[in-house]
Amino acid sequence: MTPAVTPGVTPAGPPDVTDLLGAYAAGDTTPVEAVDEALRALEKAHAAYNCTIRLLDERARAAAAASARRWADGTARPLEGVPFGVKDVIDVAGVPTTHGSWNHGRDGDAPAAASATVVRRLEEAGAIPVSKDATTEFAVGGPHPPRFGPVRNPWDPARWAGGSSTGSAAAVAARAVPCALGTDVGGSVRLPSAWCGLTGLKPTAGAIPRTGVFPLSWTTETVGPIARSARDAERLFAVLRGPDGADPRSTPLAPLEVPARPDLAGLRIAVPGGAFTELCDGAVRAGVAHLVDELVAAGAEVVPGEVPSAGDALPIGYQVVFTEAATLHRVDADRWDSYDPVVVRRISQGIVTPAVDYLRALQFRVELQRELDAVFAAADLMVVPTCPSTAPRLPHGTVVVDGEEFPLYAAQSRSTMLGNLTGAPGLAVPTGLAPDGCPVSAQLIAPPHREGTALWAARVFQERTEHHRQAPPSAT
Amino acid sequence: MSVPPPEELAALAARLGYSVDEDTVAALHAAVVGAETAVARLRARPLPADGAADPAHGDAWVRP
Repeated sequence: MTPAVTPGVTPAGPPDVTDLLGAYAAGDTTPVEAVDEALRALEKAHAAYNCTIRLLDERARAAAAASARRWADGTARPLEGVPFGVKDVIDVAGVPTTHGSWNHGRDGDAPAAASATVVRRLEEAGAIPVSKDATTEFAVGGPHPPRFGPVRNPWDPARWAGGSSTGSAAAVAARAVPCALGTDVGGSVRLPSAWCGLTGLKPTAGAIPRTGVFPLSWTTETVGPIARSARDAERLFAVLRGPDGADPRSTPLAPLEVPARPDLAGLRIAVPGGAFTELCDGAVRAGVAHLVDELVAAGAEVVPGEVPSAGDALPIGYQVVFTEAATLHRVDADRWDSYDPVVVRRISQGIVTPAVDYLRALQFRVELQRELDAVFAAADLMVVPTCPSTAPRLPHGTVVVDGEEFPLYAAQSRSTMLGNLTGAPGLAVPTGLAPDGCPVSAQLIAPPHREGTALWAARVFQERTEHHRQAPPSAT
Repeated sequence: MSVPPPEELAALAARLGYSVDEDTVAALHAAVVGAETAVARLRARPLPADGAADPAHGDAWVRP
């Protein structure tokens, strides 16, 4: 079964990043018009999906006017005038960072003193932050953060947009903004991207500095772009990557290389099964097969490759994440009674993890890396499901796999945690719609710092198909 | 190896400076039980002979 390209829901709507830059260059629109339109669209999207914590109207309009002048006088930068959303665990100077919580810091809604490195880099490239986007509480809570409530999925408002970069994905899916910044600790860029029909990149650990991002788990956390296409994700990643001198995990990188060829001759892909597919809906598996077929048709070769310990990546990954999260949140332990109860329940697991088990988990991380090395000795990429199902149903956040209902946390990160625990990059790519009308997604996992290979394969796939152009009916 | 009972986990949490209610203790106990099979497997498994004992290897793997 090839996932459907549904008639009537293809494109229209505002342009993506690449097309928007082309429209500016051609004089078809201006940053002032585009930012005004983004702010209007965000208000509408927020009314429908609850995706926005704060609009950055005044700041964005001033930046748009400056951008328009740069386009007029020939000094436009690489992302000049592109509006973007910012998950509200990432600082924007002069704007409060709520972390989706009543309990952030000791100074309430005080504005951030400086922008996070990632925001600063996008701004220095000309892009314009227009919103602080809803997040699950502290990027680890459930679908119903007490302060701001659930973010509904533009594909089906009875479902959750996914998380933790929940408002960012909903806003991009609703075509209110062409891209956004999220963070990913167990799949928090890739999962909402998958459930909202978007292209989301979790880069190699350390490739993008986390300075100015509220931490959840230092071992597993990355910042990543949420976009509508691989070509847009590439533009954003090119600007975001590289050391900032402050994040100790961020070290100098070689230039990003993404082949421009329209074919994939010479690309070797492994398609592991096991834990990646044993709990996975038929429509998702069909999407993976469809992606593989297209990559092969473009010249790629399928080679053997399995990750024998992949099934333990989820429980052991959570052990690392929650132990580190419990450590970070101990300073506020006297206020946990006003946290999202889901945050408390999840990170409390980490309180009682013995040190010897936490350290064994970090040793397991190395073992998993060795298993990936064995796969990548013969393959350039692995292709796996991004997540086992279409978007979770509200209010409980359950997912349905082949007609059977499963709790959210037993299912959602089965294929994504591997990348967080090892540090390997993963790119979520939409592969069509399931029979329930919601998007399905596959993930391209690459060796460390080979994001360019995943972006290349995804771009070629998207040049051959239309899935990434499909918009929710409400957005067209 | 069996998982400690909820009251033992609650006492440990309190000793470490966390105040958790009964519901949370029940949830964290269930989570520990849920992860125990995988965790026990790791405890029992010898480390590979290629240096995985030092978790710094995990950081080195992602360094360009």
